[in-house]
Amino acid sequence: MDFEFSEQQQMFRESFRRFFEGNYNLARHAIVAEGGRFDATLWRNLAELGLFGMLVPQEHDGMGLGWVDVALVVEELGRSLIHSPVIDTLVATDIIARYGTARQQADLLPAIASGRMRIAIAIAEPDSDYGITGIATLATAEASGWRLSGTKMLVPDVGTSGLTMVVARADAGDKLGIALVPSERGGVKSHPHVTLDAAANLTEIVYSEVALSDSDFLLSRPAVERLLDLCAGAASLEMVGIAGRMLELSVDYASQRLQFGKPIGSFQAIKHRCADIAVAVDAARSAAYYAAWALSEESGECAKAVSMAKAYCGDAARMACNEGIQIHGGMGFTWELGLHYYLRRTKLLEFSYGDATFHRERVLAATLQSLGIMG
Amino acid sequence: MDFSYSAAHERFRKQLRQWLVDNLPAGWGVDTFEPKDEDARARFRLDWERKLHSGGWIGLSWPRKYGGREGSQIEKGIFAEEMARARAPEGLNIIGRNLVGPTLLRHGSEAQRQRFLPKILSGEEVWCQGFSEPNAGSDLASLRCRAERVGDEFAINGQKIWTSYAQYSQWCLLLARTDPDAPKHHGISMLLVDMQTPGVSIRPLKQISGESEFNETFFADVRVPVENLVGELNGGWKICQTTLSAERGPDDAIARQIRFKQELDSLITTAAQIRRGKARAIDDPIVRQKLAKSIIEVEIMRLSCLRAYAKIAHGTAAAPDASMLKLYWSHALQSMYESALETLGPIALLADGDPRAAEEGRYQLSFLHSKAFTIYSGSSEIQRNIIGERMLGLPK
Repeated sequence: MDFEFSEQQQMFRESFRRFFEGNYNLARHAIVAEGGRFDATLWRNLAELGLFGMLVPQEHDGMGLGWVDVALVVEELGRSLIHSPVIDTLVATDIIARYGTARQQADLLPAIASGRMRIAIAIAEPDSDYGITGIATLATAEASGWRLSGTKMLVPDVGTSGLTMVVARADAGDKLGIALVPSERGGVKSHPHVTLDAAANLTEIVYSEVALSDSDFLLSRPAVERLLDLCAGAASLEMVGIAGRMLELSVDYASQRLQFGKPIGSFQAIKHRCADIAVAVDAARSAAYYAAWALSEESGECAKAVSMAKAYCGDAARMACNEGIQIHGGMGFTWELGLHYYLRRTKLLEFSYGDATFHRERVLAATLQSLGIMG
Repeated sequence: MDFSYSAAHERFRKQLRQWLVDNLPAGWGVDTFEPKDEDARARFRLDWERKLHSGGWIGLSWPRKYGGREGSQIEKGIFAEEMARARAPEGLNIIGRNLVGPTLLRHGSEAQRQRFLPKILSGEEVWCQGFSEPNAGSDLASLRCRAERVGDEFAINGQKIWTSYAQYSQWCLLLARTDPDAPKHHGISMLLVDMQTPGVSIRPLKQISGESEFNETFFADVRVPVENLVGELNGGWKICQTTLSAERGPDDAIARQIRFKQELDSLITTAAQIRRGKARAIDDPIVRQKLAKSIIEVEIMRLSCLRAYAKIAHGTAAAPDASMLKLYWSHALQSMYESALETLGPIALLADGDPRAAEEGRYQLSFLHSKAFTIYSGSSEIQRNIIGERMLGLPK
């Protein structure tokens, strides 16, 4: 029992922090957001730093690490507003390593580790709820293989050479699975969304009778459930990163900004807001780190731990952004200062993979079950 | 990071679990509960604490030579979990164990440690804390209770307030002004005062809950031998920071977390029994949301205690950590008790004694208690100043 990261895990964080501070500041992020294009240089840099090999098993040219090892790195990615399809690719790595066929693992994992393969996750649909009950995208069994039809939204753009993991219902009963669909496959049509968070490069994808081989559809409900938990767990860590960043920026600003002849941080109205953000960030860390551990260990409490983290970290990041902008006063409302990028990303993460309300309901249902009370 | 337990820790857990089964009153938590009368309850808690001590479960991380077990921070976490699982009662000498102990371990003389620590653990001597005064609350350093050196003694004159458990205590950890001419932080000393000394008198204060857990304590020419001075003369302010950190730290918080978790579980069970129109209260989606929010926040309280223990074990703990923990749980738990009343709905108004009251009005009583959370051990405003200035580095 030890709720502390190892020195090596903290070193991973440091190396990514140093890289982002030197190479991916808010000005660069603004260019990505306004250009509406995927940042290929950044991707290459992240691959060189070894990010994509961290979760790849050693026999497939990776480091064979787990979610506890990358938790602080994912927090850093959040802090620097790196999201799609970087996080998606990390999540997909876990799924392929656990549920993929030997062939898929041999084909995909070394390509992921080296940075040659980008993977997006496609869950949300125009008419679906946050869970898996409303998934309408359908995989129909053929004599050999499957045909996939449906519409997915809020999917990160992976370009023409990438792969998308599409959560779909199999035509028989309540079976669920994950389709691995190359971007160039016939019947796949994507077009960019207009969104609150332009830097996330989100697209809508329509799948019309897309032909899949047998092995391109992982018919496994546990795989789908883990995919959702991983996405929500990673989003929790990203939101911790954003909330922590917002705290730093607010404290810096409050220390320097003078009004009435004093730094505004000397006024309790401001100081106490900063303290409240600090408390929320710290509590969010407890929840998100525990969820990362539960995901690593596939603990029995995994789904509940993830839902607790997603709900709490979402609320904490929301609070940190709102209070942070307030502390910055008029400057906080300017486009130029860029706090809105944190706000936008937080909103994207809050409403992806289940919002706080959705996850609180999951927590309550799990608790009732453990107390032996009928739901 | 690792949340799994070693075989030795699992053994510790198993032994404790069995001990609790063997030693809790028959039917405990089912049809046997704590006495309702305040004094009877205090005696019950003290008896339970002495029983825990005789079983070797008190002073888990204290040195053996003072009666402790020299265990790890991890065992404290396991202890908290098992006490919660068994819904075991709390003890009475909380101030002795959680505040006086750590203070004497760090700043007391060897003679003081040998004299006082074993009797804190055994429950032979219950302690109270004489810090706050009517005019020295958040501005604690402005305290005026005087201790004047007279020969081999200090003569103490003044008044303390909010002295919890004074009526059950044999000893008091007292802050007094020993140099009225020095700047306010530099004229304070810490003394150990026998509550039986002539000149000590207490007057119970009635709390908003209707109970009288705390008191006003008066000192009229109370004589204390000089060997009961803790640390250096006029060095009391620094020493009391240890006490205050302990008061707000993980040992205090994890013990509370046990109660909160027990009470929340009971509340959820109650919510499944209460009818609200055609459905149960637990079927109301708004009730579910509020309860879930509290489930999450109470669990995070436990996790944050475990993180605090890990930081202590790795030597990376900082003084404001305790303020962060206390500010977090005090507000989270106030909100839990608001939600508890909302969950009960109209029956929330019925108090103990009314046959329709839920669980004999316990949620109502806890709700009233919760109003103190953000005031005692340093108000939230003081905690926010500490966090803002000492942790975040914001200017004064």
